[in-house]
Amino acid sequence: MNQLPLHDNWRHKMDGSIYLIHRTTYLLLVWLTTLGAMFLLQAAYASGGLTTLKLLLLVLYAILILWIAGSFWAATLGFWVLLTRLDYFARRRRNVLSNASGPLPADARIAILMPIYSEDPDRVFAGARAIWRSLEKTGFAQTFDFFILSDTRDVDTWIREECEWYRMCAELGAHGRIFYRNRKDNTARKSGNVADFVQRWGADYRYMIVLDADSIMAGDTLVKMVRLMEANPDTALIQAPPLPVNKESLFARILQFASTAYGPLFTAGASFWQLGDSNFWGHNAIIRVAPFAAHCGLPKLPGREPFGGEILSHDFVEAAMLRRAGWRVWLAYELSGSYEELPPTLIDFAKRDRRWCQGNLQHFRLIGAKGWHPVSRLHFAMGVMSYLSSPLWALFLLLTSVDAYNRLHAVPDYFSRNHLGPLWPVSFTVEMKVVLIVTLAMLFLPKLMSLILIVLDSTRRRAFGGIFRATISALLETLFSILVAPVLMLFQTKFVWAILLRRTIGWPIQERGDHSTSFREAVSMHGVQTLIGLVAGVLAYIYVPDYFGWFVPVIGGVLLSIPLSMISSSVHLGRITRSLGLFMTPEERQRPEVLVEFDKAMASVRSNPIGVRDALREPSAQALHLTLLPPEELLSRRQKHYAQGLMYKAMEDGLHSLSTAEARELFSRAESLHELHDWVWSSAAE
Amino acid sequence: MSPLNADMSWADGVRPVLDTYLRKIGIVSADVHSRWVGCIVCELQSHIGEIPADDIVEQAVERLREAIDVRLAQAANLDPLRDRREIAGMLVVLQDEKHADLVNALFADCDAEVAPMMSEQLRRAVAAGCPRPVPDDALLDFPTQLIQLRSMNPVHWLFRRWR
Repeated sequence: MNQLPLHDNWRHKMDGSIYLIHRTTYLLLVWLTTLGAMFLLQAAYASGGLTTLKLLLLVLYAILILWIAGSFWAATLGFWVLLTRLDYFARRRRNVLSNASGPLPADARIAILMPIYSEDPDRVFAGARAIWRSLEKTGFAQTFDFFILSDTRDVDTWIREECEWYRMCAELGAHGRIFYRNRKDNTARKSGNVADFVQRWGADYRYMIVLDADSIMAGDTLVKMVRLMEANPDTALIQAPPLPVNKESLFARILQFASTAYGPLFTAGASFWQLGDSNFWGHNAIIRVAPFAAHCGLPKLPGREPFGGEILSHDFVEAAMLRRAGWRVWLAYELSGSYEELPPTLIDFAKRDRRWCQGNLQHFRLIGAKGWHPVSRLHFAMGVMSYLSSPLWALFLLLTSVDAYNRLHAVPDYFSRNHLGPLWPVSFTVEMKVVLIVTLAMLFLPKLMSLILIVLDSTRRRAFGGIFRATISALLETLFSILVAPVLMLFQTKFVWAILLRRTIGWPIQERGDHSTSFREAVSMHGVQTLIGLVAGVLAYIYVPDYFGWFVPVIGGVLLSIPLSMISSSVHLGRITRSLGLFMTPEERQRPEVLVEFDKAMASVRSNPIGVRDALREPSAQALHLTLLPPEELLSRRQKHYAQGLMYKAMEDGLHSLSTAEARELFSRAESLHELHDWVWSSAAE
Repeated sequence: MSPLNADMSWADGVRPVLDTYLRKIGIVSADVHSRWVGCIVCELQSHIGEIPADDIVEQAVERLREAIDVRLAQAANLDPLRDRREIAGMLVVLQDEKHADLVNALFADCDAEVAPMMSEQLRRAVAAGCPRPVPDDALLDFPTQLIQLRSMNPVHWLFRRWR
């Protein structure tokens, strides 16, 4: 990295001290909690000798409690920060924004990037319209360009994207400001898509704001992010935490409520200890283009997939690379106006997890790589743990059951040969209960703290539907999360196992729209889980009846997974709970302006979208497609014949007979399209 | 030449297709339609002996499409073969309802010169509404970085320490 601009000495020292205090506080709290819990558990387990089973349980518990403690203390510190507003860096950012006025620097051009991959074009372009309109209202739109970076393979969606893009440009008067590019080869997926932008157009832009296909950001927030970057020349990336919005299914509404109510605690807490070594979440972040280009070219990892090959979860690695080069990465948790959408059903959520799981487990190899900042290593480790914790919990539960069985069937030995008097069994009920209570408290206290924050803030209190409804919502959400947690644990355990067996998943298209889960789909996804729950329940009831009650929440969730999955996918139930004022979020109660724009754009969606057949028949649709095609390279004789072959195949057997790749090839050749166009017209006449 | 071609009845099959095509382009006047269709039929007539009966409509559509391209190229002073992308872009722009009059004026005749005023109008319309999918290239170097992985195999670790 180039020489960082010199801060004055005082500020530098101040920053350093705060870093030290924040991190020491957090790490001390986490480690002390872990050690305390371990001390109590070890006392209980060590009695009667430390067997291999107990040792294994201790090790597992140590890892899991460390994970829980890390999350709990982040939330608690977040609670403290949000309650007292004593956050030096957040205050500094607020000062920057409150003192900022006037235009953005003319030379600081900003590109907003929306990488898409076979998403619903209506949804994608509604989001883009909302963002652009919101940006226009700020008066700073002239500094921004918008890029829809499509990696879509399916020709029908490709054509629809083109038509929607042109319609949007025409309606918004944004020709030459909103761009659209469909990549010929989608190498390296999303990171490759962004890399292609950087390589082709990066030199024109100082910043890029990377979105996801379902991201929505308020214009005001975009401008604030630019101002923050301008005020912090040593910062290469600022992440604005996205809040989930727009979904109506019960599942998504519960998650939206949870993320909006509890999320701020965790993001504020994460920012408290991560400070300028924060992470990139892949979207809704502003990035300084020059350092990104200089330091974030992702290599392929040696070996084959799933652990080798292209880096899937590129965001963590890019943040680590920026930190490695000396640039700061911040999580500006106080920024509002940043939104995303959640998967509408439990099954879609699990499918998304499957992709993320592979990407995060790949990071296991990166933890020990040379040159990373220690906090970046921690990010990698936490990413791995967020999925590895599930099989570890599953193993822990299994071993606990075995231990419980051993305890129940152990015959106390009162009269050992070496002792004169009887040896009374020592009870460790108190220690065990303390451990259990501490663990449960760490899991559930953040929810309570969030409720306290909501209650204390009158605006937020009203936005969440008042104290009563917010409390009921939180209780119901807790019950739901208790039931869903073991289901997700089984899903994630399966995913981890599949990845360890080197089964890759490719790049599946995401189902983002609201839709209900059918009985068939639920059975196919949860059938085995239900069976596992049934067997585990029977075994627990027969062999460890005294402990059966403890297993009920876990077994119950798994046994109910089919109805739970189906019921929670219901949009109808989502609407009913909404009419009852349950799981309300501030964004639902009063739609922010950018979301109102989004609703309007969704309402104006064409009922009869342009498709692949139109691109063949309609002169204007075909002309648009031809205009947007990249310049054709000279074809070899073999390529020409291949293209012609495809054309005749389409003529004789229909477009449906072509594979996605073949259709794509055909629709990339102007000559073939002209011929097909003429043929379609003549065959219609017949 | 087949008897079908000899009596010009093939033109009856071509006319409605070309009419529909012209309507799709945005040309509404029946007079203009008949002029353009007449041009195409006339052009085909001179080669009709070389065209298989099954391909006549296809050929007619192709010639009409090319004639439209040539007309647009004339209006914008472009090369109809080399500047196909720009011509396609113009066709896209002209589909906007606000340019309906321009379309009809531009295609009023199939072989007369395009009036300079109309060319200017077309130029302005294209400048305002021509699809511009991507900006000019502004290349930036994006070198692949090195990630030096360490072996996770404990035997390697021990061996390295020992060595």
